[in-house]
Amino acid sequence: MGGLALEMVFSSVTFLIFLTVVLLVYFRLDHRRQNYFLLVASYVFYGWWDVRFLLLIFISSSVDYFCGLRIAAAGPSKQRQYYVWLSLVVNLGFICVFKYFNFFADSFEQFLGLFGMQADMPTLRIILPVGISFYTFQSLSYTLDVYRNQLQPTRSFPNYLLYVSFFPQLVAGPIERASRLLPQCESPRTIHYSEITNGIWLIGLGFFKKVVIADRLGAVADYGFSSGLAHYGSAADWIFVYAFAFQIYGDFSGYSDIARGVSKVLGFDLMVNFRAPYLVKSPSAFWQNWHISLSTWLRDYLYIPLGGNRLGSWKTYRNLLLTMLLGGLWHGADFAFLLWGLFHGLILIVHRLCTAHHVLPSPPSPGTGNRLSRFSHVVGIIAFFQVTCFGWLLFRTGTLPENFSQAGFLQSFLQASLKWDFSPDSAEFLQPVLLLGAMAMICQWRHESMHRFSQWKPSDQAKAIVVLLLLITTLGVFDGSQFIYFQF
Amino acid sequence: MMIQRVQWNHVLTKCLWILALISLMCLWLGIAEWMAHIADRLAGDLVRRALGAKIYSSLEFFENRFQEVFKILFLMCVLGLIYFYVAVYSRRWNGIRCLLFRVGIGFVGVNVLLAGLIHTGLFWGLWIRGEKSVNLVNWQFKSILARDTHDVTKGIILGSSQARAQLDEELINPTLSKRQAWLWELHFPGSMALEINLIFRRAFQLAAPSFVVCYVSEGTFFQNTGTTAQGYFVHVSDLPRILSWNPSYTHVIDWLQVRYSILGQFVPLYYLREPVVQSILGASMTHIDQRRHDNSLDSDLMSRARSFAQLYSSGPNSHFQFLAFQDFASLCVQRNIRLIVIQGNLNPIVDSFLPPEIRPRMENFLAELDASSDLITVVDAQQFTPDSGAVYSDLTHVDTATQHYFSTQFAEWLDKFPF
Repeated sequence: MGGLALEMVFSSVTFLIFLTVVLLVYFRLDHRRQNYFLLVASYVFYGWWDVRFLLLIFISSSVDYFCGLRIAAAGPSKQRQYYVWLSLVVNLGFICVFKYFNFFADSFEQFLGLFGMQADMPTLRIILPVGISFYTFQSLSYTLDVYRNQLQPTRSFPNYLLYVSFFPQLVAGPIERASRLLPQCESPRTIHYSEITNGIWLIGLGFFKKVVIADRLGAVADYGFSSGLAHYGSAADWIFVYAFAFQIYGDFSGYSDIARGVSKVLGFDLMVNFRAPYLVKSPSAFWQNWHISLSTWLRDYLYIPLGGNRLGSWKTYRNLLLTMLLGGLWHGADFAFLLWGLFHGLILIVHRLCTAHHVLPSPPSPGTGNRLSRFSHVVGIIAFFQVTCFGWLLFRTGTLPENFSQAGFLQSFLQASLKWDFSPDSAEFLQPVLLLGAMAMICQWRHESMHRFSQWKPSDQAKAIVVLLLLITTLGVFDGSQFIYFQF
Repeated sequence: MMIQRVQWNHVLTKCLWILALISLMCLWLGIAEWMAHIADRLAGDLVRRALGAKIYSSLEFFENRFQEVFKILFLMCVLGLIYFYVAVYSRRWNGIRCLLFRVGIGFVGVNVLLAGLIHTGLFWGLWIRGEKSVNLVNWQFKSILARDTHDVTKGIILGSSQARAQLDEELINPTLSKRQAWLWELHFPGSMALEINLIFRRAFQLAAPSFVVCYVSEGTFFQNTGTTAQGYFVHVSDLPRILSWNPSYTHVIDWLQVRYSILGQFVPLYYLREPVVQSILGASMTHIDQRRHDNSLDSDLMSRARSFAQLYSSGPNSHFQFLAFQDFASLCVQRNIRLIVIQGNLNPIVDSFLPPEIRPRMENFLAELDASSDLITVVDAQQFTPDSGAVYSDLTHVDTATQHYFSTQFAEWLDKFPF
């Protein structure tokens, strides 16, 4: 199946043709040629969006490759720092210029306006290179790991270029670490039947999450948010926020599944990026299940270097807040993302405080849970899902129609939410949101088993894939819509 | 020897099963007509009331449905047998080959079953949801009812939702039935000339009508908006013909919808996407785009008319639409089908905002068409409109009272018309 648009997105015919050609050629080559071929394929994949993007990724990769070698060669001398700074400046410089320049210029102008001053700040008319935040962070992790002596630099420039540009995860992750992906590029790969089966299943599952769950619920969320969430003028409008919560899960975890599936078929093993983020009861558990590659990146390269939780309570809270603020800003140049990051930082702090003061009940040990504790577990999950949805509400205000101000919108929505006025009309979107939401929840609940597909009975495997195909064919949306995280 | 006897028993058991099934089916076919009579006696009135002008004879309706039950059972038995042998055959393989084979067989099997089912009225009847029914379901169901009707002069109404708003088959058919004629309204919302052409081809394959009534207005030729009709009615065989009209105008075709349609032609499951979505996810999902569009409309009718008129222009799109309509008319003539074109209007408040050259161009084109063949008749909608003028409920659709008057007047005119 696949989409019908002519863009290079996973749900397009173009990508299906591209992937078929890649697979047909790939399996006929030896390891060295496989790597060269994958590198060319990855550059074709990325260049398909815009050929000019290739220059950017090549410069970013080349600088980091060079810096990695120089850092290792410099030994314990101070030169190491120069090269790590060079890598940081180049990579973060690219992100700042392409992603944040206009945002900061506009914000500075508004700030001066508060004091009655006028400034005519220049703005850049440039397009945002797809996936820049993903591959820049991936490439940066390499130099940082070499600098911290956690990794030996690679001598092979093509392998390094492949590590940064590997097409399945290039534009929306998972953000792989060099210590994990680079060895897979460098050593010959053996492809097992079980891995191909797992790969095929993950590709199907990813498609299902994207074209069925995400794109169907995307239409509901767009419908609600396009009218400023004032559709019913009551708490029933939350249905659109839930629709968005499941949409973004389906969209992003669907992409990660397809990326992992394609990689498995090619003999690579990418990290799990999503587990069960909506089946948790705390913000820290949420971040252990949601966009794991980013949250672990932020933990290892930002939170821990800032001191983590080793420097006392206040500094721990400061570090949490800073990490989450930057995590929010990573998503885009908008106050909505900053606000979303701030919100997650705050709930992490509150949760930490509550845990420290034993306000929250401790989880029951496995096997000892009675009905009451299971009930409180479910209530906890539902309550935290509501908290997560409030976060998504803040997040989604970043893409409101132009005629809505974010603050005004939030205020009127929250005021309307206090009205428990449910008319029969307000139940019209309940059916799709409940059904598709339940599907998203099942995907999370059974995620361990979903990732061990090759261990299923062969007859069950065939039935599961057929059911998935039937659902994708009938319920899928094939308008070639892009993945939400491409814009980040 | 023992093993051989067991195998023979196995084969014998299977043969007996097949024989029993065939006997049951033959029995079914034998009593289908008899059962149809009983059903007609018991539920004929109910069906006539429920389906109204969609059916000409309730007895024929029941006969056809009982025959369909036989066809469906037969198809299921054949597919079941094939599946049984294929499942045994696939045990020879291991690994990825076996998995892909089973998945392929399962997916193809479901689609073959659906390919059979979509030719039955019973199947489409299952998806009917009253006013909220998906357009495709209504169209298919009525086309199949038309196909299954015999011993009557059959006619069809084509056009956009305007045709539906103007002409009510419930009001026209009682008059026509006196002449052993019956009319099925097979409009599809948003249809322009190209869609009318395509829908006629599909309707011809099913209903084989003797006459066609087509309601046209400026929207049929000059509107520059997309429609989902192309997503269902384009077949691969249509493409060479469409491209031959004028290759330089192909940019006006919605190729995404064409690809949807061709995919649906080969994968029946995909063809059924809208009814399935409505059944599983609810009617709100299938009408969400329409509702978003409705919400975006200006509440002031005058300013809405101004922005609506901006969608109308004369250019490559309208040239292409004229060619499509010309082709449709030629096809009717070739097949000896009488074509009645009603030259209609939009709400007069839109007229003042429309480009002035549009109306005369359409009138000239239709006058030429009228003169080109005895089988083509163009009538002005004004002659069926109340003297006080049509009353519109929005920019394109008339209100119920006007529809009633228009349909009654048209039925009287049609009653005297030689077809």
